[in-house]
Amino acid sequence: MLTIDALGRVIDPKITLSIKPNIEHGSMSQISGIIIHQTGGPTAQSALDAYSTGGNGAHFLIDKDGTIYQTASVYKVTWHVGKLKIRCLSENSCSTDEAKKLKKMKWSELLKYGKDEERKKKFPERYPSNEDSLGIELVGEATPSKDPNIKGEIYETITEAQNTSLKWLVFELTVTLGLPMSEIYRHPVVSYKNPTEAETAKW
Amino acid sequence: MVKRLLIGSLLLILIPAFAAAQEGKRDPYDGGDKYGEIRPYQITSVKRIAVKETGKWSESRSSSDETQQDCAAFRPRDTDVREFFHRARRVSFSKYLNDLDASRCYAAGEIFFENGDRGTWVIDAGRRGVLTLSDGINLYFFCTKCRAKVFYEY
Repeated sequence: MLTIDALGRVIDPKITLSIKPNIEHGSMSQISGIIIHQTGGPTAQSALDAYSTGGNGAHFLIDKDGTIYQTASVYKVTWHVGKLKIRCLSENSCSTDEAKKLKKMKWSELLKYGKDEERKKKFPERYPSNEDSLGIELVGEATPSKDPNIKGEIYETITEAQNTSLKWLVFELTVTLGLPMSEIYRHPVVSYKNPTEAETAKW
Repeated sequence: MVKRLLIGSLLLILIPAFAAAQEGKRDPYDGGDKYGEIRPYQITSVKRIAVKETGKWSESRSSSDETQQDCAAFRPRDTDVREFFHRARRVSFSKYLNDLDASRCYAAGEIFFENGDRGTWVIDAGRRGVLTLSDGINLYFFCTKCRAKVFYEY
């Protein structure tokens, strides 16, 4: 069980505080899940630099050697998820009416529907979003694929030390905050992202 | 080496070449330590854009559920690609990768510069684009202002 102070900082010798107010965007009253990300850059410092100058980031960052940084209060919203996928479509759980409506849509219309309607739904009808989830970033580069047919990027493999730390952090957060393990997702599961992001993450 | 790129009347991009990219070292702006920053650039001019592939689909590009049939409609013309690079804004590799939605539908082609140099480009239906110069440098774009109907609504 983690000790979390009134400011949302985790007080634990395994966690290094490196709070970046730039990426905190208002209070988060409910936490519904955790989203696992991979940075795309090679070092923790490059991610921390990006957090210091940009508005997007996650609550925790795990370096390749397993060092865990807390970069935002667990009681603050951070922008780490983006546009949500339509959960009922992904999980084949739409109501009859919604399924009928969605089935008729082209992809571009589904995207618009997701953007306009999905965020209006209450959890757990939708995936955890920026407004009600914690984000954990794993340091890891993405490099352009050498396969000419892919025309995209490939994320590197998560280190053993990172997966050990991730497993510990996810366990402690779920126990402390009362989150079900079923609401922990890799970023590409809940949003339209590179499918190799955090593909090798284990928790 | 400094390249110059001008598309139509637009002064678009400038590119100080990153010597280390040619020496096999990691490019700091392209997944390296400066992946959160936009690469400094310099203006240059474009002679021609060639569209080589359209309506392409690759499931390794995005976790979306776009089908090959969905992607068949993504057929930007050379004027659409010109407009893309005219109106798109430069973004960092980090923003391109982490913040923007990825699409499985893409088109690709070549770009020819007035100075004789050339590069390749890839743009997707989600309004993201990558320009790869002959020295291996990648520049990343996002176009919210593109009007071509081939792109998804922003």
